[in-house]
Amino acid sequence: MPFGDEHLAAILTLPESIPRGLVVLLQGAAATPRSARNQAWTIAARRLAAADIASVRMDYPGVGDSTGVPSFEIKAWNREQALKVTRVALDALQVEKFAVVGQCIGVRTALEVGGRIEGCVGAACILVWPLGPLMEVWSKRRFRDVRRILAQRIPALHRIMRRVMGATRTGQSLRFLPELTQILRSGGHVLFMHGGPEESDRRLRDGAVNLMDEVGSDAGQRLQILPLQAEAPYGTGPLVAQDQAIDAIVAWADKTLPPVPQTAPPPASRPQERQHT
Amino acid sequence: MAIDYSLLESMGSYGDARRGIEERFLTPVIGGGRTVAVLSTPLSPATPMGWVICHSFGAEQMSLQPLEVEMARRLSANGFPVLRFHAQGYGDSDGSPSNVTLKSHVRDSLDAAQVLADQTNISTIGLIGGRFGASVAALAADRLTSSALVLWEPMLDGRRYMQSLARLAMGTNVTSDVRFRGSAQDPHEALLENGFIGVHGFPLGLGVFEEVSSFNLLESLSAFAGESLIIQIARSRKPRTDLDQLVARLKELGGSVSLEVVIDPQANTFGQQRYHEEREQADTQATLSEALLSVTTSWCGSRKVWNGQREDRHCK
Repeated sequence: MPFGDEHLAAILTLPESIPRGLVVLLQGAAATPRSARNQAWTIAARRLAAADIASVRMDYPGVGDSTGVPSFEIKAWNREQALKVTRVALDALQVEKFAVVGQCIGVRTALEVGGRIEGCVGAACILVWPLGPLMEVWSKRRFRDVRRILAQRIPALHRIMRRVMGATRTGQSLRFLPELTQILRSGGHVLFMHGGPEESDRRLRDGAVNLMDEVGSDAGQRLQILPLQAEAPYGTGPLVAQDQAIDAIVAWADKTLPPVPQTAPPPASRPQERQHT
Repeated sequence: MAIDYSLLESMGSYGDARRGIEERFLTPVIGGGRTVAVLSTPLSPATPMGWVICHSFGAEQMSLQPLEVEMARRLSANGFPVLRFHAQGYGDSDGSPSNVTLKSHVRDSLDAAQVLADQTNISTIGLIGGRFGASVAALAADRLTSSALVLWEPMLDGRRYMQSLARLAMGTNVTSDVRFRGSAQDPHEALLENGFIGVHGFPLGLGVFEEVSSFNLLESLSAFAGESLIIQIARSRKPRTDLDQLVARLKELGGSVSLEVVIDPQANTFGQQRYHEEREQADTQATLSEALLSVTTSWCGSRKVWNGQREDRHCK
């Protein structure tokens, strides 16, 4: 599909019946194409179709069959492209409800898509190791800048902070992207699959507790954390992790999307998309 | 509620006036199952010669894809129809990765050549591939007795190739894949014990490991008498005996051969991931890829045939 002067390649996988909804599959970086590593997205798409769920997977610019130049800008990473593909898929299918699935940096894109288009009922976040894609970049960078300034101007205070930060490891506080909170507040479901070390897992769970406190206790029933067997900070890790992710995504989407097809209004009268500054 | 198929079908192809090409998604039957292919054709009248790009094995298929896609587009811009496709077990194909073999790659490349012939008015076909894909292209060209062949750093000795993959597995997640199923730490032991290992997120099965390990390209070629371009990718101009032997073999079969050397400091990474998160996603193979594209486009362009006459010009 056209995107400015370029074209984005995408595959829409349809069930034989009328789809119950749409799942948008968004892979990570490192020039991973639309099928993801080892056909993971292709397999997930076909299993979703067997559950009467349509899915769309895309090549980012400069990757796979899309034209253009690859971009690895973490802020708003391929967001507009993913929004375009999602809108086209929703319009073509005329379904109202959709869910987003992101892996690694694709998590960020997925959450932004889910937060900007009406009808998102859930977000699944596959994080092999780093939690960065879930976080507001602001909190991490701003805090690091503050610490550096303190180190230069008030060494004694900085030493105290180091002792405290070292003990509590709150140097990188887990402030989730606001879209995550928004999805939960609107009744949506969230799945985290995380393969990081114990410390990272603890931060994620602590963050999830804070999120539930913010959103309300009923969010606990709609927020799920599953372990992922990973060995390295990047990539999809071992083959068993791929199988885990596919199984979890399909089961989660089956539970999250409505059991029967829900027709969307024609594109011209579709509710305005949420805008974020 | 009706799915807007006309909207979807309208996006099955696109034209790029800047490059002078059109690309169209196809869903042919290749290797006994459905898959996805992309046919790149010039907007101006095409030459009667087309190219099939034969992709490589496992993670190399993903790593070399950007190069192959750009190759297809440049060749199309120079007047050639070009087909690239997902062999069974890759990408959007029906097949399973566990059934991938060297034989299945060759089978699928032969089917892809037929798809290209069916979709266009070509009378001659050339094949292109890199690393494992180069050997696939050579074997397919040998079977088709096609007219031209481009080999980027071809796999000549399957045993060495498989050993290099096994070493990669040692550096990635092989221990995780085997931890839950056995006690093997050596990749080959792991293969024998578990039947597979993971190499950069792709399965390497014992069957294909043994199949490719017994493969030798020099011994496998028997009929290809067309024109070929072999590109050695290296960090220096030091000649390689095995490539000289390949040149000799192709000449022995009656073909004509050009051997070019592309020198690049990243030569040893050809076939591996080009974008690195540790280096802020820098494209570590940009200059290497451009050199390959330039040499290949020039060579292919000088082989364009119009109305039975070779076109004697070099293209950008």
